[in-house]
Amino acid sequence: MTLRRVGQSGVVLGFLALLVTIPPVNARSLAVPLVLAALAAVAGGAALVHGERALGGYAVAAGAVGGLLGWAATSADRSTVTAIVTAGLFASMLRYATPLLFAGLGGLFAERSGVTNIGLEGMMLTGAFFGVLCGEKSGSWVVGLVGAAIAGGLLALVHAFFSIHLQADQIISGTAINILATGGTAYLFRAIYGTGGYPEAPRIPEITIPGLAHVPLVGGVFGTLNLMIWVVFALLVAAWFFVFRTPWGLRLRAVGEHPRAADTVGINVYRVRYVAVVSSGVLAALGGAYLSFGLLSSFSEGMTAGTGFIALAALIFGKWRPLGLFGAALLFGLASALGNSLQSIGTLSVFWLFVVQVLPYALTLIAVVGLVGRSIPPAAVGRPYAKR
Amino acid sequence: MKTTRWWATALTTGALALTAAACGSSDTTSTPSTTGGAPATGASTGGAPTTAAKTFKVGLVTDIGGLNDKGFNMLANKGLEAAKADLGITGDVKESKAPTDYIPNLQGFAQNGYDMVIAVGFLMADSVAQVAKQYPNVKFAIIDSSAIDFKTNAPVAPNLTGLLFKEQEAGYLVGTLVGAIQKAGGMPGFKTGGSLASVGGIKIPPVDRYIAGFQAGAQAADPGVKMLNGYSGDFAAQAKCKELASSQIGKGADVVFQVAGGCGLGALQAAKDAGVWGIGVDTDQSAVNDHVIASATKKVDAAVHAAIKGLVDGSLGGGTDMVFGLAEDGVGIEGINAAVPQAAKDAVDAAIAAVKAGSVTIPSSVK
Repeated sequence: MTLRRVGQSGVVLGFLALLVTIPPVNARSLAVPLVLAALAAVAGGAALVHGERALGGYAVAAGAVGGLLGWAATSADRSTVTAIVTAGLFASMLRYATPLLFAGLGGLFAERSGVTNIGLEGMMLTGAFFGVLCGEKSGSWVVGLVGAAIAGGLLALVHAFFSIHLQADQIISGTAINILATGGTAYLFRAIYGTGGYPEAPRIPEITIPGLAHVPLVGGVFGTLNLMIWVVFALLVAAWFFVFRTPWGLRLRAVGEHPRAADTVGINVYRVRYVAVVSSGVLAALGGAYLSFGLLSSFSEGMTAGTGFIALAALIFGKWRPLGLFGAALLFGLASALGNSLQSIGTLSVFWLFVVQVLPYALTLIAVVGLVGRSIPPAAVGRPYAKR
Repeated sequence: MKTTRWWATALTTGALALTAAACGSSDTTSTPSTTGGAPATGASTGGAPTTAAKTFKVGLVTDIGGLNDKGFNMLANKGLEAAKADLGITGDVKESKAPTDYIPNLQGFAQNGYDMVIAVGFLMADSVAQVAKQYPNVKFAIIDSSAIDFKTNAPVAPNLTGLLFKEQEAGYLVGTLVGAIQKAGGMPGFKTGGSLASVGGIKIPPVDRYIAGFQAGAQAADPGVKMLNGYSGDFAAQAKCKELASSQIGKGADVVFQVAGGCGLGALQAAKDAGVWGIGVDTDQSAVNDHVIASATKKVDAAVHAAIKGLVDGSLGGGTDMVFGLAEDGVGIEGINAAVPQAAKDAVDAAIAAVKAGSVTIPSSVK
């Protein structure tokens, strides 16, 4: 067994320490999670001292967290654990993660091409609004999605023009996009529907998989999910394949790492960046559309409430890789869903209420200060490229 | 390392800029007429009505929910508009997009010769206290917060009036309604042994007064009914309230009472999607969807109008509170769904009479 494999099994064992204590396994003895956690720590420690430092660190951390949570789960009474860990919890996690994944994938394309996109939040909000507008006027959610995508793409085009052609500071440009979107959508919403208006758009359908719905736990999570959740799963795989397995992906990464070198070998740096930034706007807008007429049925002002920024944090947490982004978004989603679940089973004291609500933001901070290993961004991100 | 830490700067700058820039507060009506030498520093008007012909200027600062929150802030503006129509005042609105806007928005009105500045919302309490002390010649009013410091029992500022509501009475009525339905064996959307839930925004006194009243009313009507309660931590993000409500419905809730402003619209959506019932807040929200069983209302518009009337006729002092309860027609229950059985409506009528007669004590904090 290679060293790498040892580290990986350590991570898996750490997760198992928690998993065995919750439904459907429901181990009630404290020894089970502790033994698994100890094994994880040993495997991690071995990997750590022999050179696999990052992976070993993860395994030790997974062992510690898994052991702690496993201990908490075994010491709580069985009905409490069953009430917290339900299919509904994981379904809620997926619903929280979906807008983060759309916007995060958008950020991934833009930043892999070397353009920082802090305007994801604004592009989401724009998609949320124009999706509802087009959907409500046409009576079709498909038209709504197309409208959202076009609006998001156009807004991203503005960002692209400023940051690529005019070589403006990309943070400033992105911030301007956010302000424009906040004010613009509020203005248009009131102008079209009036203060107090509540337009109902046709919703993106939920997909029920017939056989799956009756399988315990799994059926509760995947049996009925919004179409957009399946779409984002497909997009994740497609993005991974595109970025790391195709010549176009190689060009994208080359432009983001060393645009001068890419230019020298004949890659059109500007074109790659334009395409990447516009796609990022389209993806973020689809995330916003999922919020406004997938999860909900209407738009309200400022409804994205910082989701775009959390998506950016998830991207950094996930080290600019689709799989990492997926893991980070699920973690953020689980933190939020867990907060709701804990509140629904009983009264939390004010202190624990605060802890539960601050969890997703605390994770964001951890991501930003780079505590979870080193996140190395594309080398040329944020720097405009001047053609010679 | 310049390049490896760019994102820390980026996220921080972005978040700050979003916050700061959003305070480009929008004046919804005409900008104050600056005739002649614009007052550069202090307040130019003393607020003392000298002649009957004086036109009072009133400024309203909304909380972050904004004017289009279908509730609280929208109602405050409605009160201002009504006062403009029948009291002959002029008025302007500034919308806060972030808590950092509170003080600049309040100061903006006070500096520009407004006679009265109204802060909409408990979260502005500290800001309005600070600004009221800076501008002693301008009248201030704040909705949902007391003008009396609860520690010292002295007025926070002599020119500040608190506009308070007995939200617990409105909560009690909607609680009575759904408790009575549950007790009588329910109606479509209710199930045997189902629980009654509330989704709060942020755990602040006005939110908790609604919830405390709701729980008391439900348990008075149906002793032993199970209550759930949670807080989304937000007043704008609909998705958060929807997920919290879905979680409660998953745990058996038949009714979700939203006490979270714009965020709570998501809770009403969750109730509709699951085929159970929602309860609206602050204003009649039966138009949001057809699964709103009733709304606990709080007539912020009436309170704003009453305060402005006090300014105009000179009766508004300061350092005191004006309290609006069921007896003053300041809170109530509206928009009861047509499907509700008559027995439950009768229970509500009985509760209204009892509350007005003062024969029930309703708690005002959530345990």
